[in-house]
Amino acid sequence: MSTNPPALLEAESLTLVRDGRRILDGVSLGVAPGRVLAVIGPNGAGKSSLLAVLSGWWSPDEGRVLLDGWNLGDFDAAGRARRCAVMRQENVRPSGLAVLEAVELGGLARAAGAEEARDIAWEMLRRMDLEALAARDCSRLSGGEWQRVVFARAVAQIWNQSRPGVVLLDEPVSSLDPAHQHSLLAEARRLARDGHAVLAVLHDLNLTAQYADEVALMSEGRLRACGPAADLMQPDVLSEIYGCPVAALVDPKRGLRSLVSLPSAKV
Amino acid sequence: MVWLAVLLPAAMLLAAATGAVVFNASDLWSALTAGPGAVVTDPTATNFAAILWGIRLPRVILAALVGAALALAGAAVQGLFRNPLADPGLIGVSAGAAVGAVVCFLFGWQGLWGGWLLPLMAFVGSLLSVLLLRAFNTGFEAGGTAKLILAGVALNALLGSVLGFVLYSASDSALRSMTFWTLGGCGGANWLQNGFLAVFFVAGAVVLGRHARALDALQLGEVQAADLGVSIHRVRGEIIVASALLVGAATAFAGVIGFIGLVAPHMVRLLLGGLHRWILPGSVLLGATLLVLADLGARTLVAPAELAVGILTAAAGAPFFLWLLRRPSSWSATR
Amino acid sequence: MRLLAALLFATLPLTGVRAEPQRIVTAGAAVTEIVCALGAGDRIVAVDTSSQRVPEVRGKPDIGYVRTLGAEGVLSQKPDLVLVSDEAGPPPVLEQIRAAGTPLVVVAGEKSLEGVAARIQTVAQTLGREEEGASLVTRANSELAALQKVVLSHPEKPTVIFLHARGGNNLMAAGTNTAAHTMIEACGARNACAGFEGYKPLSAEAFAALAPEGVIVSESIVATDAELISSVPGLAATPAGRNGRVIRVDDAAFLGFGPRSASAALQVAARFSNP
Repeated sequence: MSTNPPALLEAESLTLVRDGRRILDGVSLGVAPGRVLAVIGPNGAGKSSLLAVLSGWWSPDEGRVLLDGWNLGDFDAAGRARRCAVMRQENVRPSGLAVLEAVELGGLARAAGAEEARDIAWEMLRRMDLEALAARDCSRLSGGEWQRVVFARAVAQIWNQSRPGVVLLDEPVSSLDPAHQHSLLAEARRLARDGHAVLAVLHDLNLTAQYADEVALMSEGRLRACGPAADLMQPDVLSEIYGCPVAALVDPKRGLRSLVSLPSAKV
Repeated sequence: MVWLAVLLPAAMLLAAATGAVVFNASDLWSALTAGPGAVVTDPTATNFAAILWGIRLPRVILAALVGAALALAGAAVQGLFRNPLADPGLIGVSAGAAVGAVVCFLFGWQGLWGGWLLPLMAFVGSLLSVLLLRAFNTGFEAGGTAKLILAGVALNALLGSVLGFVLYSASDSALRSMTFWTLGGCGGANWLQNGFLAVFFVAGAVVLGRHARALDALQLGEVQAADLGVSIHRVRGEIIVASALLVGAATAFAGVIGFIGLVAPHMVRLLLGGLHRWILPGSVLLGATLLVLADLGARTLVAPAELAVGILTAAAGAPFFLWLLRRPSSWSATR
Repeated sequence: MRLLAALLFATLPLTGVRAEPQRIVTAGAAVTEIVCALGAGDRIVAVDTSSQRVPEVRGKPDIGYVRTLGAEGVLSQKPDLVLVSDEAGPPPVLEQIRAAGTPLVVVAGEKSLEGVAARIQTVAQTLGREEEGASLVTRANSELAALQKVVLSHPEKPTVIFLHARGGNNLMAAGTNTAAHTMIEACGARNACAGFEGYKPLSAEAFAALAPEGVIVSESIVATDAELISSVPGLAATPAGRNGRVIRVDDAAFLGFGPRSASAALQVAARFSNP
């Protein structure tokens, strides 16, 4: 758990039960402004469920979520949307909507006029290298392009407001090529450096190691460990969490360290 | 958009000037200036003023209001279900309104509450069918186009049998009221009914207009719309109720008329893009225009007899629907 | 001059003398038939669809189905009188026609052979042809008397059913509360389907259970008697089917309670007495 500065989004002992199964079991963590927190773990660990609760879509059976010190449940939809942006794992691609219009929707909860929403949208497109696609219909984008558009929309929600916001990302780079994976996560990190709090659910171990400041390891609904990335992105820790051997390969000449997962002995 | 705004009054003017009774320009002018209360002096001459004010104008206005209401409800339902094939007729909402109205006729209640009971019962019917549809479609989200259309087919079949049973057990006089009505048409229009319909239309339009942006957000997905700050449950409920209100009122006064709710919003989307601040008003204008023209055809093509206007809207709308089915974009927004 | 004519016309109803209507629109086959029988058929300018089978007016402009008339359509024929049966509708349209200043008279009457006289009288009065009306009524009454004589002379009532195609190819049988039922009883027969109301389709077992001795159908059915008996499931096994007792009627006359109804009934009753 982060201690200083105080977390912008805080989860306190979240428990979620569905069909008798504990999907989340006493999960407590906090996302601090200025930091990128990566949540990693095997499939079915509860990462997306955690995100669903943190974003207010599901109510936890036990525990609570605090957004900027206030109970998340006390916010109305628009108020929450202004402080907390979510990028989901799967996003419907509408037809008949242009990319610019989709990103402009990020400004829906804000009282600001159409002009400001448009300016912010253009700014987002610039940062995500999407300007050329501004007029393209969303249904005609490639998977990767669409993912970047969704990210841009999410950022547009909390952009340029008086207080920092929270950005929750659920596998934001799954459809992207390596170059765009780096640029999107670099953008996420830049958001954090600007003062926002960023939480990202990731699968790629190396990207996690490169871009996360802190890591939360989850499996079977429980938070196994949470701490600085440098401490936790270690082969022994990861092998145990994922249940398959993870090795670190070091290239001392170029100062690179990469994590490689190997098939488990059972295979 | 400007074109649409001009098209409607032009169509209404044409419809007002044309009909089974032939008006020449001076007849039209004298009838217009005579006003609705004109007294008949010469019984052997055609009473143009009475025809214009008592028969034709109310009918043209009814067609415009019904077309507008159906198109607006269609646009809202398509936005809500994220499904370009959601037409109130196809998905069974019109049938629900029909059942509500027919039950009202069955008991002879259509004159009660100063005439308000009929559209209210139709509204209840359409509301119930939307709720039933939600139950079939389990939360709008899952299943997509195929499931929605199938649910609509099932609902139409169910309501069709209820309707058939009610007609079967109706007394002769109730049947008389129902028969013309089930065919769908704007005949027998009067100013009082138009007044009721206008009230319902304005109520529905105001509610839906407030949710134009929410409807845009819904195109990204229901969860995503909530993420963007839309109070999903409240907004969804209001859109449903407002759409049912529009369909209910329109069906109560003009019977079941299909395809306007499908065709008008689509054409507007093709012309004006995907934002509901254009789609909603555009659908109102285009829907009104289409039905005014269809009704004009219904009452002039086989004059002095009349065609049921639903025949014309189906004749034009069904091929359009089939064409729509072929386009891949009809199926892409499937979640 | 026009003012004078207008004044004259306006005061005519007060004097009880009516100018004869020159342009009549009728709706309902029975009404049309009465108008023609009274000799005013040439004044009819437009009729409804069901009246198209009346020979005198065939081919005249068609104002549509009697229950779904259009106000403007009727008015476009510039009628000075609109005569409709009590089935005409929708009610708001009839109101609109009246509100436009055109006289509209609904010819009501009991749905029985006895009611025909009332209908004839209403039409005759409206047209100012009381004399012709009276003779038509006399003729109808004498046909009615003849019918009653035939019925009385054959106290055994055969059981029959009336089959009618209600929309599409669906042959349904007439129960109580139908024109057919009234006519069957007037012909001196018993309606086998008196157990239910309105028109219903019969299953093969139902036919067997009812065992009608005769079947009455519209003469417009194209199939021959043999084809009909074999195509309706269960009919062949009934006495009517076995003996080929199929009676064809002009259904407009048989069901319409118009001037030809009594003679239609007479023909059917005669068939019963001479199998």
